[in-house]
Amino acid sequence: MPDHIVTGFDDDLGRLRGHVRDMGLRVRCQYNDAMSCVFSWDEDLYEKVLRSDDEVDRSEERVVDFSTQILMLRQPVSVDLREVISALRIACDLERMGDCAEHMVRRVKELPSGVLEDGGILGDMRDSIYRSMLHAGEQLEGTMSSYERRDAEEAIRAWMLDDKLDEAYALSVKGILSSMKNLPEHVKVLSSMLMLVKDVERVGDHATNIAESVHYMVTGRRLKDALPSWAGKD
Amino acid sequence: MEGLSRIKVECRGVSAFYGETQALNEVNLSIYDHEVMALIGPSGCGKSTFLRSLNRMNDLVSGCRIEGEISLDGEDIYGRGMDVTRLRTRVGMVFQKPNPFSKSVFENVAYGPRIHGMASNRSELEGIVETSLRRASLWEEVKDRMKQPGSSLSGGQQQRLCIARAIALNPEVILMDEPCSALDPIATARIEELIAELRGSYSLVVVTHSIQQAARISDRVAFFHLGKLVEDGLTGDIYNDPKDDRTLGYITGRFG
Repeated sequence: MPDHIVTGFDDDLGRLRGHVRDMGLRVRCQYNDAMSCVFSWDEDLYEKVLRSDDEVDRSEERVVDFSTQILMLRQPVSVDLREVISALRIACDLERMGDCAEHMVRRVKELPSGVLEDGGILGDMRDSIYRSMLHAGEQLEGTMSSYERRDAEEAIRAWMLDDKLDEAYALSVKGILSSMKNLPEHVKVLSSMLMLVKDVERVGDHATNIAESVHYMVTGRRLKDALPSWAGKD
Repeated sequence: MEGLSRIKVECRGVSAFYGETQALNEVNLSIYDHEVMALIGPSGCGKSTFLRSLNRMNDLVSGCRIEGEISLDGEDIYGRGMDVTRLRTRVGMVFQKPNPFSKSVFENVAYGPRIHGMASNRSELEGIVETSLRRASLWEEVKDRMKQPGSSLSGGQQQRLCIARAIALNPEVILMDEPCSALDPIATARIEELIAELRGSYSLVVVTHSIQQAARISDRVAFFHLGKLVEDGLTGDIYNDPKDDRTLGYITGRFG
């Protein structure tokens, strides 16, 4: 697409994209650190995840402030307006993902050590919980990559990864609920783990929101209206 | 969109020439009852020529020739039997620069109805003037200044006086050629609010250079470029996702 006649407008949109990319990188790092913490507890990494949350919050403020300034001063329309609206929505979802990562490590901190290891009370579910976290992470990577490339097709592919996450999430929940029945004395630990996998599932939900924002930004249309016929629309 | 049921003005294959120069090229566009249609496009794109062809204002320009068909309620306005003076009462016009007559506020509005015999006595004429000024949202500001010259009003008031003058003839369509370009933001807001009110009674076609104004006031937008109608559609659709790259370039400020 050709540049704007007013070059400052292109500079502003470029800076806005930079702020969103930067925020995406921070949340990706934060999520990966949280995931490491879940499977291999590390006090320093835990502290880092908590600190990252403040940085993510500041990143969101930068995106919101800068978007507001562009809306006020440039009065964008069409593809430019969608770019700013999508930046605001994506920043909101990224911030919530950061919160989820923070909640995840806080919950793990409360757990006795070794619960996810072989022979631990959740050892059998280690694989499905790991796969849930992996798929949510892949979704986050995929949606932010589609944002950076402005690629609507890639956004659809990332959106569709949600099925894999849902599958692994359902398996994890089923296993945890079953353990609650069999091991009522560990119900507190199991409840924490249930909330943790719920946080992971929420990360996936926010990733699908981002995919939808990217699709709208690039095409002006809803992602769900562009899905192939064999894909679910719910 | 509600109200987009009946075609008021239909243009088919409309071309305009100034001597050898073609200013409009095969334009097909319909204006509906009770809608605000904004015509946008860069200078020289033909939007004002198109606007002026809708009430045969171009007849007054020597060397101007219109081809194609423009109908008002199904009647060809360039047809042999068309009374052009009557046409211009049905299709009123407001210009870029307020142009009140060198007469009093009252006479500016009363002039048209009087020469067209629309009032049988003074009291009826006064009624038409008051109603027109009220519809143009000017009555409260000028009711005690009816004998003062129209030119003594502010720019924004003069423009609303010109709108009242057009309304007094009980038109069906009102054409506006950049009606706010000579006005400050407050006077502009008053005209835009007035356009929204008038939409209930008339079809309005407004030429504007401000794409933000077109977005604020119009139900539909038509984008002209180099004498051609590039695309038209609901304002929200055109501003979100125009089909043509030239429209996108123009509304987003990327036009080369």
